[in-house]
Amino acid sequence: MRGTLSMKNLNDNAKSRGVLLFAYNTDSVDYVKIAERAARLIEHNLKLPVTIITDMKSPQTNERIGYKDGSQWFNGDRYRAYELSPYDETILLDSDYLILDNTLDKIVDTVDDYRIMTNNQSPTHSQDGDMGILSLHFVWATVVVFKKTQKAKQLFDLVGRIQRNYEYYIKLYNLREDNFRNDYAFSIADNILSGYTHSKGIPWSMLTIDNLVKNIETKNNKLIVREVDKAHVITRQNLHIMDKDYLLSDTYLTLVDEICQ
Amino acid sequence: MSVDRGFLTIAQNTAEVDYLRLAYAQAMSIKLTMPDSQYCVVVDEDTEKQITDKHRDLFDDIVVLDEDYAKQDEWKLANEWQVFNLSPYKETIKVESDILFTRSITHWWHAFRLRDIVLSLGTKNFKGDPATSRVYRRIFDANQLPDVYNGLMYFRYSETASEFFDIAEQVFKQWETVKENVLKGFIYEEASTDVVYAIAAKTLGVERCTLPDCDFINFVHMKNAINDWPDDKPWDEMIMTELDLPMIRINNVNQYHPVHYQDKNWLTDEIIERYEECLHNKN
Repeated sequence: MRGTLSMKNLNDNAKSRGVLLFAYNTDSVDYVKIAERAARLIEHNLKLPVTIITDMKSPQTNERIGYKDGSQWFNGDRYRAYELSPYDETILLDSDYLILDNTLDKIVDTVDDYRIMTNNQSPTHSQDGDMGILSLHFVWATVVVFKKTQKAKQLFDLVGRIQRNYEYYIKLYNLREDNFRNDYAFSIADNILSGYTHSKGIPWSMLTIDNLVKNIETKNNKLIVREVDKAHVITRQNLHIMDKDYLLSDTYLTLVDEICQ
Repeated sequence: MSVDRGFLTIAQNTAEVDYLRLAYAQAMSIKLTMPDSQYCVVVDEDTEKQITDKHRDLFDDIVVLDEDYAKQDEWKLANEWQVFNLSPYKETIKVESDILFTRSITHWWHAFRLRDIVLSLGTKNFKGDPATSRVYRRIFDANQLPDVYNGLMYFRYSETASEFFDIAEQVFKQWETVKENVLKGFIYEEASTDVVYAIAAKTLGVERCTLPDCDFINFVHMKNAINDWPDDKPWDEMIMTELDLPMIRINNVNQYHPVHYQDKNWLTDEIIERYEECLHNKN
């Protein structure tokens, strides 16, 4: 599958509601493989079709400093999700967001135009913050639920404009980082579109595991997340896993197989 | 709107600050957002001499202080208690002159009428969230004083309000005694109106002069720490402001509450010209 139309639809009978994933491989990470595993979890738990958009050449390369010695990831085309989604109602996800329950399907019914994940926390602390010491709170583009409405189109068009003029928006919004970050672009677009306030986001927090993961088990309605030096026992819920090595591991594949059997 | 109610501010110019100019901008912001509102400015004799035709055209009432208790002070707060007797209105919203209005607060009058006097409680940051910083309120916490702000308050010509301002007068006049014997940890020489009014509120009974359930009755305070900004520069040197008058957008956030910009240098001549132009076009 290659090019703009290289959508890998895992359900040929695409419905008007579905999930969209972006996956661009880098030198070090096979994001397509991660997305395919994520798609299996989504189909099993949300019972929705999944479209993976892959191998469109990103207009820019982003070096993410601070995680795994600066691994690469391509994030430049997310604003095209509106245009590329084959669904009337779309759940746009990062492929490192593990769908382990059906809560996102429920939120779609309450969305007028779009909703973005607003709060994020690890098992031990909040990961919310501002885009800079003099800037505004940022949202998490990891999860965006949208319908094909004029306002949702404006959101994605605006994200594209912000991306193309990022230097300007860095100054306008006192952004901390020079690298383009979707979270910031969506925050700015949401701020502008909401009349220079902010919109209602998804009403619960995203749970992020930001350390290296040894393995994850499901037991009854619980999740046991084992890190290198500690473990967390948490109620079963969707998980944002930052450790790409884990997501490519056989251990994770076994978890996916177990859940989806 | 009845002429029985209106806004009032005190504008006593100092060597440093032209408060009449601030009041002029404030009056324009009120006339833009609440065109039927009355506006009164209280001035001293020296400031009265600086009043021009453009001020007279804009201000509905100009009251000159008979007795100026702040004549020797650089920070002229000692006349605050006099507003009860100086206001030409039966019901008054008294505001500090460095506050601008971005939309009508006419509906607040209905809430204010639940009391004879209402002091605003707490304040908001530029995001519109209740401010949590206590950096500027340590004296209040140390003395268990209510978290009131005199920046925006309401009073009706009534016995309760009269009693409140009588207490405030006594606290102002007995400030040395209060500072030495009543307050813990007060380090400044001059009386702060917020502290004086907090003492008066506590003496009168906080429940008689605040409306904690009406948590919208306050204003956006632009002091740096309240907004979690570093304190080493004035906020307007770090943060961008846009005018879409009467709306003021600070750091990309529309301000729906009255804005206490506090740094007098923020109010440039250009901003005043924009207000004049906007008001002219509206009329």
